[in-house]
Amino acid sequence: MPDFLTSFFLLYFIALNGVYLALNALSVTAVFRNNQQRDLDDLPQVQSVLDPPISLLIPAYNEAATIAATVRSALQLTYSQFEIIVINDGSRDDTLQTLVREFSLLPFPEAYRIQLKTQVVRGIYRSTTYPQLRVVDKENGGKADSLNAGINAARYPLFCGVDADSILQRNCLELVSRPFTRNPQMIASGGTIRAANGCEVREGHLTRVGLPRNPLALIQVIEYLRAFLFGRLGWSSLNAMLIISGAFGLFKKDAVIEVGGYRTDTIGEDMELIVRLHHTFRVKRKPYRIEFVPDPVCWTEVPEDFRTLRNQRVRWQRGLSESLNSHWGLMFSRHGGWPGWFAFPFMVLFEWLGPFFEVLGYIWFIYALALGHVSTAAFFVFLFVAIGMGVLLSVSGLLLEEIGFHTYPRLRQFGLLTLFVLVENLGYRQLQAWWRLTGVVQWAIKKESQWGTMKRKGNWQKEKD
Amino acid sequence: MLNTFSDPFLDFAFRTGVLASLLTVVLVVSIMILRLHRRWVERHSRIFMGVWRPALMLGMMSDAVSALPPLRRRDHWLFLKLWNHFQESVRGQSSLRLGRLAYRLNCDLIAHGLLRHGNRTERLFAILTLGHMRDRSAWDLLLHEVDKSNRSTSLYAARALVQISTQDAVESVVPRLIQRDDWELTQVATLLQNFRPALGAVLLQLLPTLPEERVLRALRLADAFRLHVDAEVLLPWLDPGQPIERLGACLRLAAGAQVLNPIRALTRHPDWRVRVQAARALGRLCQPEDAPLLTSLLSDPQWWVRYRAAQSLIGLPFASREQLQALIDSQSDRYAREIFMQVAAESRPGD
Repeated sequence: MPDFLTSFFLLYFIALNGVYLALNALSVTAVFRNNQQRDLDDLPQVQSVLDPPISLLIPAYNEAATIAATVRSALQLTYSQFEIIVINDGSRDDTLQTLVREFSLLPFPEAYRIQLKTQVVRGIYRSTTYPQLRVVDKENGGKADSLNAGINAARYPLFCGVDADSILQRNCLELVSRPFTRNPQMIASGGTIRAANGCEVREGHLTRVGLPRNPLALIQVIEYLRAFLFGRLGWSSLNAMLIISGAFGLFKKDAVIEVGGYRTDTIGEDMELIVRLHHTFRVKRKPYRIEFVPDPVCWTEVPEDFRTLRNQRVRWQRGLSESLNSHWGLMFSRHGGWPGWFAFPFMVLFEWLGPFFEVLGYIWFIYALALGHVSTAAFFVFLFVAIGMGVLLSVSGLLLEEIGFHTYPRLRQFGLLTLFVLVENLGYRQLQAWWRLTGVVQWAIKKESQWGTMKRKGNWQKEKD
Repeated sequence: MLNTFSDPFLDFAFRTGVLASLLTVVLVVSIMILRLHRRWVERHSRIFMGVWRPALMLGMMSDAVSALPPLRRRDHWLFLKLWNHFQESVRGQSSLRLGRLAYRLNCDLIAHGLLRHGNRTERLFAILTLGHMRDRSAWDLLLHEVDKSNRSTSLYAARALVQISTQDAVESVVPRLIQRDDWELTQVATLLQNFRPALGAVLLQLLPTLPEERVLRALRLADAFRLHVDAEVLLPWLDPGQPIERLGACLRLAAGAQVLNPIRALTRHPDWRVRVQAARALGRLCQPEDAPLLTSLLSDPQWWVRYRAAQSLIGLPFASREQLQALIDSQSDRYAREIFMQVAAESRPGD
């Protein structure tokens, strides 16, 4: 038995990292292809009135401090035709009053159309200075409910869900909508999320890219690189991406309405929607594509203290658990394709159950070492493999970033990132496995879900001079 | 029991760890080399731009640029990118002058080489270059590219053919525009907008002769090109029994008094998508006698029909604000009143 367990955990760690490395290989090809495409995209483009118009949906709950800057930043996006819909989800602070004051909102007699059921809409406002800006004021119902209300109010065929505390790159709509102009089968596309901590933001726009001083935030910079650059890029090339971040994703409205909109009884509404889109379109055998576009970047503040980070990760893992458990029918289904036969089982085995095996693996080796079931050598080999492969994965994320983006050009930045690739694997990764395990347990005991509140510092945001 | 390194399994795990560590070192070194290389490329590119950007600016304004800097082999790619960048921003004489400058630098030969042996992006830039240079000798090569499955290279090759000789290209390009569903209409219309008259003429000529399954694509193409399609051509397709999507496409193109009656009939079509387009078409064709019909559409069960009908009504040039207000007041249907008030508010930005 001890031999079996030891071998199992070792094999599991090797398999987990091996699959990630395979994804990484796919991503390298995708990054090269993206670099080539960028040469073409860099040519002067004619902005066409035929570009699909976009409704930008910004759900906000108690965002009085940041909402004005977010909307101002959104108003400056470069795209031929778009509208902004802020959904005030029954905020208990001055979110609505701030919007009314900053953007000269007046009640708007909208014939609100209910395509997706939501909490009661109390009123709709329109800006008298920016006619493309509307605010939907509704009873509290959560982020998913707010997005559904936004979809109901949206006029345009594509909608882009954005977090109220995110900073969007100015041409991000142009970039994230390109898959839709290239391929009529496109139903969703998502961009890259990066950590804004350490960057400089003025009037809602990123003016300088930097790295955070806070070690926890710095580790998350590496995590985000890894998650987006080879996680999503790899799956995207197989049309098997099972998540588009709620912080920045573009969707075909009809497709989302067809599958019933965002589910309001889940924490991970962003992932659940994507899995449901895959599931429904596969079952109906309708051709579709869901794509990741690495170029458009959405900057978001990441937690800088353990407590907030823990809560965030627990919430994410619960969201993952809910999303996967609602769609078992996709796994190994007859028409499941790459999502059903590879991405879904991968998610179940390595992302959902992964924390169990990781935590149990560490516990087992310590226990077995103490009882003499494994030698000291075997114990250190286990650590060596687990940490070594983790470091390799993170470094390969850095390599992809270097090939494709070169976001952190200074030598000091590279040195810092390389150092933290090591640090990340010595304690943080193990801690994260524990938090994720907590998330699965909380999901299993069905602890009540609510809007994710995050302690924000926002010291990277500079006020208007 | 996994107690020693002599255990093959443990040995395998150890070797995996060693391999991972070695690979990590290799990757870190690769990143450093990449950064050094990038720095060199950026410096070289700055020097190149410093020389060639002014040269191209001059070449764009006059043919009399006598001494051009030598174009080194390693700069071919940079030059093609910069030259195409200029070409995509200019038209007319400037574009022709840039073309002549490119011939002086043998860019046609470079582009031919890239088209035969380059990767996807190099082939794309070669196609762009040959099109902007109006290189006749590339005709057959480009025609061959048009029929390839790659949607970008094939579409750009079609544009290159039209650039080289619009007259000769339209006969072969327009049927492909109708045939190739993978060529996104938005992109087609954007790329070929300068050649709309010539392409449109052939498209309109082909329209009545097309097989059933191609009519919808052709109608959408005509719409994307903002063409005027004769009412006689559209009339048979405005029959309520026609497929929904075709009816929608026809209604978007409908113009002239001849089509008014069929459009009025289509406001009662069972499919709301047709009624939406009919409401829009009636607004566009704006006849005073259609106001009651549009008003009745304000009570349609579908939101979009009500919305478009309200927009059409408010857009009627002969209806005054007072008349519209009276119309709102006369509505007993709550939905009709609400949608009308919304659209009225939308049409007054700044209120």
